[in-house]
Formats: sequence, structure tokens, C-alpha cells
Amino acid sequence: MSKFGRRDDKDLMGLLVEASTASLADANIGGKDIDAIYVSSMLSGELSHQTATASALADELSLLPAAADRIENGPASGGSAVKNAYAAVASGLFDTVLVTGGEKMRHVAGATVTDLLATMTHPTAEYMQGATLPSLAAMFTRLYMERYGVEPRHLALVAIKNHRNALKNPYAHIHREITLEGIYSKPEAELNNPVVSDPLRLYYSCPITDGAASIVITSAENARKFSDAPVAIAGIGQATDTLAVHQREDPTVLRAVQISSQRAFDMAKSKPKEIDVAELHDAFEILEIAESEDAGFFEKGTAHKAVEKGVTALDGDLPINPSGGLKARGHPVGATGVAQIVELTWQLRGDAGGRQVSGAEQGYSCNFGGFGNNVLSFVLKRGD
Amino acid sequence: MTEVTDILSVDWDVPRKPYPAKVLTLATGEKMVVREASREEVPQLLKAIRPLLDAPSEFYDLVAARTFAELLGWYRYRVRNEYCLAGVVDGKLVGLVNNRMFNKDLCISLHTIAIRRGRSIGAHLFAAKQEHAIEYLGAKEIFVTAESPRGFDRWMIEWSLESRPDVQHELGGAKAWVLTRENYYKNKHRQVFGDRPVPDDVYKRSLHFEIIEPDIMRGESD
Amino acid sequence: MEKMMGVKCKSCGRVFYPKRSTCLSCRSQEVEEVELGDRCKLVTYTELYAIPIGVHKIPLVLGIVEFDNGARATGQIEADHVKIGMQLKPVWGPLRTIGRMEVFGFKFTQP
Repeated sequence: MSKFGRRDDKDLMGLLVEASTASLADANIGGKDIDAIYVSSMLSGELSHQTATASALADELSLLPAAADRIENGPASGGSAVKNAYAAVASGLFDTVLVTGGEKMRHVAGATVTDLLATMTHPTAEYMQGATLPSLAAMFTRLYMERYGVEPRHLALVAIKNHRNALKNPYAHIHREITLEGIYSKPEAELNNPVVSDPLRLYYSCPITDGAASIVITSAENARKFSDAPVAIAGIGQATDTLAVHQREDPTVLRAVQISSQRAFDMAKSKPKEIDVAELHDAFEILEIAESEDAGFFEKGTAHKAVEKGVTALDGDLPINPSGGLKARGHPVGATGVAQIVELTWQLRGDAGGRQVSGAEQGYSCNFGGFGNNVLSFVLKRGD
Repeated sequence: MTEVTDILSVDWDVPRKPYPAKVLTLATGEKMVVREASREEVPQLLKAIRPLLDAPSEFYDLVAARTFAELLGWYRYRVRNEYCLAGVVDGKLVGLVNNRMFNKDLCISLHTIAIRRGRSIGAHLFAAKQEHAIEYLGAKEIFVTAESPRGFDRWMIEWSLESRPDVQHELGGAKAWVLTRENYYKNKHRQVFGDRPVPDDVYKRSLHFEIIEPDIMRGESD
Repeated sequence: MEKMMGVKCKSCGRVFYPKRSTCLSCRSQEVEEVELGDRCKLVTYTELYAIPIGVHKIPLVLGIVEFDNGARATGQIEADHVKIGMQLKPVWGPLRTIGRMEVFGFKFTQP
């Protein structure tokens, strides 16, 4: 991974190289072993004026004449790239694929980024009205609060947990502890944690981040050539849902999370209760709560109680987002899906340092595209 | 006989009313003391903001240059009725705001500098200075302007500032907005926070502040 | 007078907004245009303070509304006191600019 944050020191290619170099070194790979490069980046064209990003990376890393594709699926670009690499290797088309996701977003005005991200919404039903991702998340939050009794305090607890976890993640964007007093309970929280789109507040959504993450995917037979502790992608699932949020029968149900998760568990011949550690897509903290339910870890409408009890903390029964999640690790859009897989790989290898979930053998990740209209789920297992 | 030094010298012609210090909690859990800075502390304050004269972005350099002049002017008796409030966390100066009473009814809000960023320090200090002006100095109106549109657009809404095109703000004729007494009280509950009195040991700690490098000069990764 | 139009599936009767070519429920492509009518109710809403480029009122109030026939829409809400469940009606008007173009569409006001 590259360090996530405001990276004025590098352009997009520089970040992709930083992460790729690290993963290639970790896998002890020489250039001739890479058959293909998949780069996941949602906005490389719009923000870095570069669309042939994968071709460029193949050149820059001197991995020519490897095959190369840029993959775009909004915030689920990373997940899609990992899935495509898996499919390529499993089909026998390629032996070893480098997957690198990256985004450079901090060099433009926040309003510009928000607008580009809003292009994921329904063009006539949502975008034209002035809807942005935060406004959709806010309405989702309001419905969730009414239906299931989730309170702003629960969102604050998730944010606090993720900030705390990130303190032990050297790659994370934000290394800053926040407190319940400061963002929620004291009256001054009104200014410390201002409303973005009521009831969504600043600390209940993720930052805008520069960064890249990278992983090498190869066949099970090949894996021991490159690593003593390979991690297996045991299950993958992907599902779509209606583009416009209002179109869903029950907008509080993330059908694409439910279905993709089911598919991933079926393929992995596993179940949610066998998962030791999970990386969920908390672009907004409400999503960590909702995804943990729709993925199958908690009964619908109860995850917030588990949060309160500390079940999802690093030392809890099901640690969620040990990396700090999108909230504190950061969210370079195209990198996130890959970064989640990188974190799970480290966790399952026992390489997660101060944020290690002890004895982790199976991990789950959920990469959430659009506002839940295209979701990928992964189940990873320690490879032995 | 006229003392030559008195010809240009100005002092307070509006009764000075002190600002009672308060303490508030930032998002990080850190406690910030907001207290009045004295004229004697001005040399320290100037040292703290001097690096910002070379700030790379967001009008920090202009704000720092003007604030520097205002504080120095106060120190050297060429600016009358000026106040400065300081934000101190763990003995470190994290921000300051200044203003001056034009007369007993009108306060001119001058500047707001957040030395440490990402914790709403500027917002809290801005609110504190309006609190001082309305509730303690008895101002009926405060003229406000800004160098940077970023942040100002938020303040405009949060404080229900009224545009006053007939008035030039004394900061070089910039456009002026007004915070009326009425709008202050209307918005106070969402803007003005803090606990009083400040516990003794916390207050004592805030009396001698350490100068830190401003975040914007460090190219803060946030 | 602009009327808010959706589509109705001739096979299963479900009504959709905005228009689409294929029914979400039964996949039939036999759909016909229908008027959604003047009456809808507010399902949920938000007051957006981080307004997008091209929108000039702050906050921007957005909501999801539901018509009697089950169709839902997302749109700007213009009302003095926004309350979940309140009755609204669609009106045609300017929504925002995109680039330099003024964009028109349906927003929702009190009947």
C-alpha cells in the first residue's frame, strides 16, 4: 500500500508505483512473472487527465508486454479489479496478475470531487435534482434511525472505533483519536461535528484521500513460489440493485450486499459466523452498521447494539475495520476495494502489527459501489 | 505643553470589559481554553503568526499580515480599543481572534487565525469573539468581513449575517456584513459553547503558551 | 402545463418513475406512459448544507416522495415546515444549473 492521505508529493502514477512496488517486493516477483495488470481508478481521467492508466502503469513499472486493463466501477472499482483478476487466473488465461487501485483526489476543490462522485447517481431522477452521495446517505440514515432505532450516538461510536484502529495502521490517512464528548455528547459537538446533510454530520462520513493499494493474485499451485503464507480468495460475489435509491422496495435493505455476500459465502462454503475479521465499506458510518447486517453478521436492525457492546471493536468477537475503515484509513475511491483485500491478507498472515486480530483464519470484505447499486463481497481464507 | 509622543497615541475610549475565560472540548477530546490575551503578550502572538506571512494558500498570508499589523498597532498605541482572544490547548497557542470597538455600540470584527487546523478551532474562536462583543462589551452591531470566501460562506448562513452594501469594512473597503444583537441571540445556541469557570489548574496552564508551527506551514496531510 | 409522467407495466401493473423500458418486477417490455398525478406524500428527506455546484439555495431540501400508485421519486422539497408523511404535489421549475445550462424538472411543494 502507499501511505494514504493528502499526497502533494506524488501524482497518481507515483502513488500507483509506490503501492505496486511494495506488493511486487512482498511477493518477490520478477517482471517476467506478471502476465497482466489491472488498475482500478474511478476518476483518473477527470482528475488526473489520464485514462490509459493501466497501460501507463505497465510501462512505468517496466512490466511490458503484460496485458493491462483499467477497471471502473465507482467505489467498487477495486473489488471489480480483484474479481476480474481472480477470474482471469481461475480460467487459466493468465497465471499471475498485479492488481493496483489508486486515486488522486485532494488536489481539486471538494465540491468538484463531490460533483464527480454524484455522477454515480441516477442522472435524471437524482443528479438533476441536486442530490449528492451525502444527501442519499442522509436520507438512508434517517430511514434507518426511524425504522431500527439507530441513534447518532451509534454512528459516533463507529467513527471513534475506526479512528482508534487507524492509530495502529501506519498507512492510514487519519491518525487522530476522537472522543464521544467531542463529537457527540458535549454541546460544542454542534460545531466540532457540524451537519453536512441532516442527520449526517462531518464525522459520520469518510474523508477524501489520495492513495493506492496493490496485491498480486496467482493460482493456488503457483502461490507457494511467491509466498510462505499465501492467502486464498475462497469466495466472491457481486450483485446489482436499482440505480435510483427511491426505486428500491425497502430502501433500508441493501439487497446487493445481501446477495453478493450470500454468493461469496456459498462459493467459499463458509458462513458469516466463521468470519474472524471483516473490512466493510463505511463511506458513511451508517453503512458499516447496515452492511454488517445485510452481509449476514447481525440480525437486521440490531448491529448498532453490537457496536454499543464493543462486539465490533478490535478486541471484540467480530472486529470490523481493524484498518480504520474508509473513515480513518481513508477512501481513495479506486484503491479502497484493493486496500480491504490487502488488510485482510495482512490479518490472515499475522502481519497486521498492533491491530492484529489474533488467530484470524477467515476474513470478509464488502466493496460498495454507487449508493449500494453494485456491490462485491469477498471471503478470504488462510491458505493452508 | 503637548507631549510629542501623545500626538498620535490612542488608548481606550470605550470602557474595557474583560472576557471571562472558558474551556471547551474539541473533537479530539482536547480541552481548549479561550481567554483574553493581554497587550503584554502581543510580542509572543506576533512570533506565533509570523511564519504565516509566507503561507502558501487560502489567504492565510494576507490574514496573517493584517493581523500582525493590528496586534502590533495595538501594542504601539496606534490602534484603539482592540481585543484579542487566544485559544490554548495543553499550553500551546492553537488560534487567535481579534476585534476592536469602534464606539460603544459598534464592534469591528477583525481576524480569525487557526494555527492548528481540523478541529473547528477557528469556528469556536470566531463565536467567542462575537460573544465577547455582544454580551460583555455591549455592542449592538458587529461589522464582519473576510479575506477568504471559504468558511465565510458558512458563517454567513450560521450567523444570519446581513449584507450592508452601504458600508465599507475598515479592512481596505471590503464588503461588510452585519451581525446584529438580535441575530447573535438567535444563533447563539448553535455557535457559542464552553464552560465557566475554567478549573484553576487548567487556567494556570493556559497562561504561558508555547508557540507551535502552524499546520498550514507543515503541509498537514489532513 | 408539464405533467409528471411515469410508466406502468401492462403485465403486472407496477408503476415506475422515472420512465424505463423494462418492468423491474416482471421484466416485461410492455410499458405505457402514465400520469403520476398531483398527490404524493413525503417518505423521507434531508437538508443538504454541502450544496453541489450549480445549486444556489442553502440548505437544499431533498426528499423521497411516494404517489398513490406506488411510484416514488426523489426531488427538491419546497415547503415551510417539512414533515414526514406530509402531502405534496409536483411542480415544474428550475432545479439547478449544470455547466452553464439551467436545468428544469419536477420539484415538490405543498398542495
